[in-house]
Amino acid sequence: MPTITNIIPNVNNSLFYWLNTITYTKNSITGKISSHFPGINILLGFPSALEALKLPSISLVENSILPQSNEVFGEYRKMITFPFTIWGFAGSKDDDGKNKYERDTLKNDLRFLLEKTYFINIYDFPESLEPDFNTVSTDVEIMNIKTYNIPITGTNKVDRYRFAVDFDLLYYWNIDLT
Amino acid sequence: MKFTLTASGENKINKIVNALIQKTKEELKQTIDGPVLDNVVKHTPDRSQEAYFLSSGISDTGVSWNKVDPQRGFIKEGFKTLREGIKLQKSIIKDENNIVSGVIEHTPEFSLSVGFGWLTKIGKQSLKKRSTTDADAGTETWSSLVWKWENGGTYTVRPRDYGSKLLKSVPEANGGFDSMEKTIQPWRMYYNGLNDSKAGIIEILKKSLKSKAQEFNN
Repeated sequence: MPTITNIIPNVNNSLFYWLNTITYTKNSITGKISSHFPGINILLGFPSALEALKLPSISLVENSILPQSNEVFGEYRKMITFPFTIWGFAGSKDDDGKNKYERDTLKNDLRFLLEKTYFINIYDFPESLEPDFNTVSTDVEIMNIKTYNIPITGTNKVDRYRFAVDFDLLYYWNIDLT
Repeated sequence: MKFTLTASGENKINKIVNALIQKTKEELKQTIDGPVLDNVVKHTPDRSQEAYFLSSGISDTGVSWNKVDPQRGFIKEGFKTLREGIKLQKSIIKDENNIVSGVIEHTPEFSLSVGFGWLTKIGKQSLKKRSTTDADAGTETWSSLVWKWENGGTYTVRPRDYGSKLLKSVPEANGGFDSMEKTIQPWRMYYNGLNDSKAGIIEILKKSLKSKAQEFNN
């Protein structure tokens, strides 16, 4: 049976895949994020030109890796932390109140999805953004979820209705040093 | 079984608690103003990166520009670099109901202090210095500059003089474009700096409070 070749290169793609495919029920409608927010862009990496960004959008960004402490001997479980942020850009409506509502519902939906999901499956992605389901999946735990609105950072509409969702993915790795 | 503290016992406990709170406040201030801000600076763009990212942009005609004009594009005279500014910040320590917290404030004044200047052409030969703190520079844009570096953001630059055009690399001048849109990517300087510091802060506070508490054993 094939096994996953490496966790680290596949975390981003697996999380991005999860974000695009996870379904949930709201107001009696079950669907993906794109069903609940028609026209939404789901991006991997921070947009290079914000002013050209279509609203609403969310972008998944991996933050710098935290220092890990490994001063142990023998067999142990190494914990690897992958800190992520989902940046949210609402503002697709023509009314201030509606844009704030869009920002808050999108933010709360993402929080709900992360809170209710205990782990994310990790797959190999041989050549594309489609996972290879034949690989034996492992999983990573979701922890430390934090959501907050971003203060207005500019004069364009894309700067006005922003939020961030920070969270960590934790992976426990059995290592035998003996 | 119920115990009641004597007045002198209560005084003694209050004295210990107050001493520990005071010690926490002192230690937290020193830690934030020292090692924490040092860690924030490690995630902050240096002078050349500041110049590069503030100069890059896309014009209204779709032309991308990602170079710094060495003569006119980015003058730091009269301003601090972002790294200098952050290193000079001072934390504010709060004590509300015996919960001690440290805050690094992002004021509009701080953003304006890490702005920049540039030279604009005002005649065939003449150049004039302009900057992000000029009265007509657009306060809303520049008073949130540090937020843009932290969380990402945009700004639009247009010529200040009616009918003139923008040069490629500076916020305004006579030149090629009517406007230029600029995106600053999020550097997460404070977010990453604080994440790097969390374990260290807890360790410093634990050691310091333990040593302070031991004074009362003697």
